[in-house]
Amino acid sequence: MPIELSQFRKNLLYAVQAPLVNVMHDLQTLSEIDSLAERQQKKYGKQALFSFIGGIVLFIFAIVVSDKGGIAIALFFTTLALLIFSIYALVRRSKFKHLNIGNYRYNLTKQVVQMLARDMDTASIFDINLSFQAIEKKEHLISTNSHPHKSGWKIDSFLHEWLIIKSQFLDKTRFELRLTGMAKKQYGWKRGSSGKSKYKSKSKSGGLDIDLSLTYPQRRYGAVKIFKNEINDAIKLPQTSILRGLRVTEKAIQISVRLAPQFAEDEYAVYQTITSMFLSGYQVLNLAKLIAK
Amino acid sequence: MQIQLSWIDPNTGNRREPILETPVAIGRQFSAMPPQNNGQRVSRIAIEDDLIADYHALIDWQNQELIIISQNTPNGIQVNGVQLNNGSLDNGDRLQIGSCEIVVNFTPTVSSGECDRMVGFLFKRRCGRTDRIDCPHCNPTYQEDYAYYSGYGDYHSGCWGSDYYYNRDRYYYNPETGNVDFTEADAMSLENEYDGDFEQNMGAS
Repeated sequence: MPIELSQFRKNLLYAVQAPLVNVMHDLQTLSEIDSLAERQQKKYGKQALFSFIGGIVLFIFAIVVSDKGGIAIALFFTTLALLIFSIYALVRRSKFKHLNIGNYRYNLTKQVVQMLARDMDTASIFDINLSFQAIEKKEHLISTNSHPHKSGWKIDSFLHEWLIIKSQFLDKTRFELRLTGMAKKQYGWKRGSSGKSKYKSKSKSGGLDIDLSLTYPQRRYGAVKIFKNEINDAIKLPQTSILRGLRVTEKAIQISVRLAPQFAEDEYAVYQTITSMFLSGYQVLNLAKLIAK
Repeated sequence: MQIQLSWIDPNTGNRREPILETPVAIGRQFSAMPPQNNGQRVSRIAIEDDLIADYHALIDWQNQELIIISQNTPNGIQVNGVQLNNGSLDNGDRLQIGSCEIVVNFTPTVSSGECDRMVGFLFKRRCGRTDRIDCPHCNPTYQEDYAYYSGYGDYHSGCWGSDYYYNRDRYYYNPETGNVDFTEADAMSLENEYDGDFEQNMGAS
């Protein structure tokens, strides 16, 4: 399904149910949209800067030659034209800002999808929801609390589930991967040494939660139940992340992991964690299959 | 000796072409087929088909010929359209067991140019491609693939699950009830054990 640019610009959401080939094509399109937006932003940024500098130089020059009436007036008008063009370039630049999406999200999705596709039928359908919205948006606000130390200040907490991938492997195991970004923002009025009050705000990442659910066919992997209580030891994660939850039922294994804030947008660390989670789950399932034979 | 059996799975419609060491048992219930025959480990093929008995037939190599022995099942076996209980098999013969037609090949069809590597990232399966050029699955090395999980797929001593792995033949998993138990063979080995040996094994003085 081709990406509707106007729709995408509005909600910054890529949602699709399609096979690998289409998903890869769409992600490539997203990366092209992003790089075009980056190039255009750069171009208009430069135009705005140069026309502004040119305007200032001409303005100074016009003052210097103010005694020569006609030339000075021409220079003033040129200065005005350059400043107007500078504002126009800034407006154009801001329009592309919205489409300058984070490379990290689509690059990571591409990597994860390729990794998962290795154990899937080429015709299998990926169900993907990939959002490029910032975590700190009103719709992702989950709570507002008073600041524990600064009187009058508040802290907003945000949760944004920006990636969901669902599909099925060749062995009929269904998987569901969810990535949820967390952020906190503290804000309030601060009085400076001069006595003036200023509104201040500060944001920081709260880390990234990764939840993986593997719903397996019982006939193939039902023997999982005999080592249900020892599965914890089979989970191997990189040092950048910690295991937050592990649930094993008759039909599914659910693994929840949290990445520290400094790695929440580290493409390599997140991919490494996701891969390790899948491998950990299958270290268990493959042994269950050996026993169920 | 290795043989290759090819059939279309009646439930999934997928083609199955495993290369197996003889003897080979065919049936509907994995657990109903014997794990060993005359001291040899049996390759067990479970096909979910109502017309196939829990333990339907055994293919074995005897006196330099491949034979098939029906396990007294009401539906019997057809070899190249002929109903029989026991018989010898030739390369390319077609077996009709239940609603499944199985082709028997003595020589595996994996030719020298064909990739016979086990591929797959999370679970292994045969590659089956005719060449390795641009194959996304054949080329990565084990280290590249499993760098994030050292020892992936290893259940040997010291690794996670080693106890279960070494005793895997002793477990019996019943897919109907979902229960996992020790096998009858294991129970019998315990019965045959002398009381003295049992006590010694338990560390009694």
